[in-house]
Amino acid sequence: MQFVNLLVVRLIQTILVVWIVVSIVFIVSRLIGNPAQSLLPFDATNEEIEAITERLGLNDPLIEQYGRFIVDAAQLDFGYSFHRTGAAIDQVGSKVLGTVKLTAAGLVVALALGLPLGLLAALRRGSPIDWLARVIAVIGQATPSFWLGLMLIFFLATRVDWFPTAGAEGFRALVLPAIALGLLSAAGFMRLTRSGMIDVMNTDFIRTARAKGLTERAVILRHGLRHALIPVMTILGIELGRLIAGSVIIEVVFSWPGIGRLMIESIFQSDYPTVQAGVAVIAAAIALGNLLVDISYRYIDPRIRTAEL
Amino acid sequence: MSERNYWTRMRRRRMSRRTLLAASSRAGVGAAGLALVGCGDDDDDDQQGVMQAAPQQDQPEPQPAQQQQQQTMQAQQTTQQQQVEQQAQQVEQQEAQEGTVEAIERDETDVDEEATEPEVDLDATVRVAIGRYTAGLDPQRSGSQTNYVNGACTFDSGMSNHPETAALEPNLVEAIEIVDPTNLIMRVTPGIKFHSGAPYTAEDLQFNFERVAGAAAYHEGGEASDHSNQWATARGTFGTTNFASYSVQDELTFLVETPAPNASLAGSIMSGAVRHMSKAYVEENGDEFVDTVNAVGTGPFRFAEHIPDVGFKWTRYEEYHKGRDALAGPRLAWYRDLDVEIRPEPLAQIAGIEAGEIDVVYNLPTDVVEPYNGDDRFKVLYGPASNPTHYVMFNTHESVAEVDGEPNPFLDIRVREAANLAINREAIIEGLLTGSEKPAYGPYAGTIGYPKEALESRYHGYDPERAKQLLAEAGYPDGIDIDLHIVTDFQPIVPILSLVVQQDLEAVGIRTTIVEYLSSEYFRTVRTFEKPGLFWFFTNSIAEPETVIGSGINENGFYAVSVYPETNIQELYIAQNQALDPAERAALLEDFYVTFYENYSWIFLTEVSAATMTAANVNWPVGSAELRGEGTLTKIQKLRNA
Repeated sequence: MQFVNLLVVRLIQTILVVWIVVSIVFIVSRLIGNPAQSLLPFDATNEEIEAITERLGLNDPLIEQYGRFIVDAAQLDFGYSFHRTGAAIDQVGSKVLGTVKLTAAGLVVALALGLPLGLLAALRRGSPIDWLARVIAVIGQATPSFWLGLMLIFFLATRVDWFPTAGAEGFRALVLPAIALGLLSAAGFMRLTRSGMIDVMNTDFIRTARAKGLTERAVILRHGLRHALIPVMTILGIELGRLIAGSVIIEVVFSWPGIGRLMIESIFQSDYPTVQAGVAVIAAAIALGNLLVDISYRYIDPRIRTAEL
Repeated sequence: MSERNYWTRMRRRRMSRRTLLAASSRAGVGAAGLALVGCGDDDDDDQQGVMQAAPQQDQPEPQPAQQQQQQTMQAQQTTQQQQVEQQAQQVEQQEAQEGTVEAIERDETDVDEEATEPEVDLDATVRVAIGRYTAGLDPQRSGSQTNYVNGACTFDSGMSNHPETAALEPNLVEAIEIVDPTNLIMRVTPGIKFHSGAPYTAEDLQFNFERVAGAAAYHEGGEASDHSNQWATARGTFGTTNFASYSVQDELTFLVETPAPNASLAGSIMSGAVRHMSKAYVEENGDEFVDTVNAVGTGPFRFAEHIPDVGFKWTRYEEYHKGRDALAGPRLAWYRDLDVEIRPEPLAQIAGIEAGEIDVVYNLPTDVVEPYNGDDRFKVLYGPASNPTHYVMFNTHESVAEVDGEPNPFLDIRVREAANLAINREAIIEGLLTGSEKPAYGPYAGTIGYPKEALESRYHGYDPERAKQLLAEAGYPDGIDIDLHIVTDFQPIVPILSLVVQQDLEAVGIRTTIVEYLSSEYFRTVRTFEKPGLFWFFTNSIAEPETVIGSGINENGFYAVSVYPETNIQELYIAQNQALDPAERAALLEDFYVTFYENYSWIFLTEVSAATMTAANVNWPVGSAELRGEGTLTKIQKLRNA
């Protein structure tokens, strides 16, 4: 029962977070310009601009616009896109799959690189493998993802024709953006796994496990790694947010049709409804992702099961 | 030079972003990439004009030798194009003689391989990458109108401009007859068909002028539109709002009465600002359908497919009303299919060419193509950017008659002259731009044609000492502090160029603070005339001067930041627009331009270039001087065996 109550509280917190974020976006977007201008050629007359401004309801007092916005947003109605046909939320919805696919692939890359490397580095502490893993981690964390993306295109798509330079057709098109997106997180996972494993491998229960006669493989994977993964799980929620945020740039670099690219275009076009819908969806995704990570603690670490989330 | 000197930093800027990427990748210096590589922003307006072959950047001293080489390369390309055109004509003749394309293919197999020469592949697919995505297909609807490629491919304008003189040439309308100073007859070109098969008639002409003015009856000017995102016109001033009355006389004749003599009317409403749709098709299918599902025009390409966020496809309209030898405007395309792919990042666009996925990228920032100059796998060409002529306007409105409690300094012609003499245009052109640009002389694109002799003989030049002297004489021996307002997301060169202008002005004592805006805020701010200081601006590249001077110099114009009631500029502006005789109007326009220039009405800066890059087997229309990209895409040629 306590778990359910806490879950409800966290859900309410999530809604509050989304509300605060979209409210900030609402205010900021009104400060940066009149979308009517972006709907018309720059040599449109004042009358034409005024007519569209009126038609979009942007002459109403800001508080009135905000009230309307919040009531509608509560029903997932963010209005119609200024630049695309259909409701803004539908525009965002049609891009969710693209972003989920890219983010998931980035996460897979991050975990597939970060965990084994971290594990190896911890088990071979001070060895060339450890040194190499740490260098990779530093490079991974110091390299901007968009620069890495352009480098990957430069070397792996144009110099050698292994992957397409852009687009989202087929599995090959997913590889480079996933690497560009996932490497930064991989570095973080690697460092955490390494330090976690080093700490765990010196604990009493690992000595006990060895004393019981378990194989080294069982000691590492069943006892050591499971404990070392708790801090990794802690930052998984944060990394998920970072991956979604990072996908904004990666989608632009690789011409990947997703929410990030839609957001960038919409910001430049002052397409308020689409920006607001996109931010709401991203904020909700990150908040819910963190909630899921919190819940998953219970299943990884029995000590947390009885504690507060 | 101090750290603040732009030119010391400019040497680094002259390295392209791509060069830096390559270099930093070799050195593993991610920070360089972080500092200098951004997500590019470009304006994908299809406006392209004269394209010139790229200078060979591998020459250490790029001056006379380079120019010679450039001219040689240009000549070679022109010759190559002529050869290719001749060959294509031969192919067409052969097609006509033997009746089928298969016959050509059969002949090709018989040709000795050694004798094979490049020839135009009339069945080719040309793949073009652009950066800006606009989903809508309705060329008259606000928002959708910025889908410029769709506008130029699917639709036609009323008339085209002569590539050299900019005079109006037949297109959908074959002639405009002036009956008297306020009455015109527009003669529709007979035999033109929409992609739907319906004929283009005077009814369609009237419908388009009504619809573009937001006055079409079928949807009550947009009020009763079926479009779920609403419908509002993007070009309200280009239609029936200019007419006192109008009527369709017969299938090919449209009568127009104007409230007063209007010399600029034809040039404005017949330009690419108005793309013509089928009345029957629009009325039958509704606004939303023609904006989102299918576009039907008379243009050189039939709309085939739209994949949201990915791109568009068109196929050649075989019954297009103009052949490949047309004098002006679009023509029957040299290839069959046109695939346009959306790639927001310029470097990813170029990578597409390198990887063989893309054939053509245009309107690129010039710095990103520099590493490819001289690479025989590609062709790099430079030409005027979509908003080619840049200048800075002084706010001389009454609302800012005083700046910080003092008289507005720019009301004094000596201050304006000083600002003009402060700018080292040659250094900008040679050091920052490609070297092929010209100084700006007035409110028009250099490709359009202007009173060259009269203006160039009055060139303001660069004289900072004289500028300082003039400022002192005007009562500003310690200089002036003022804001320089710029727009950052309209053309990538503006933020960079504004730093140079700032430095040049500061050198004579005009100290500016750059105030940056996004375009959505900037144009609105300019129109208020309320902020003192300097405002960055640029021309469009529509041939009709009214489209720039009507809004930017006419004292009632919404961008008329610089007004000078003490001069005869307004009288000349009005007079030229009432002069229906072309020669008389040209003479008045010359007086107008010279007066405006000699009044130091703006800080006249320079023209600005954009780059086009193609695969080696693609001919971009070198030497084309057509305006607003009219027909540019139809003239691309993809070669076999190249």
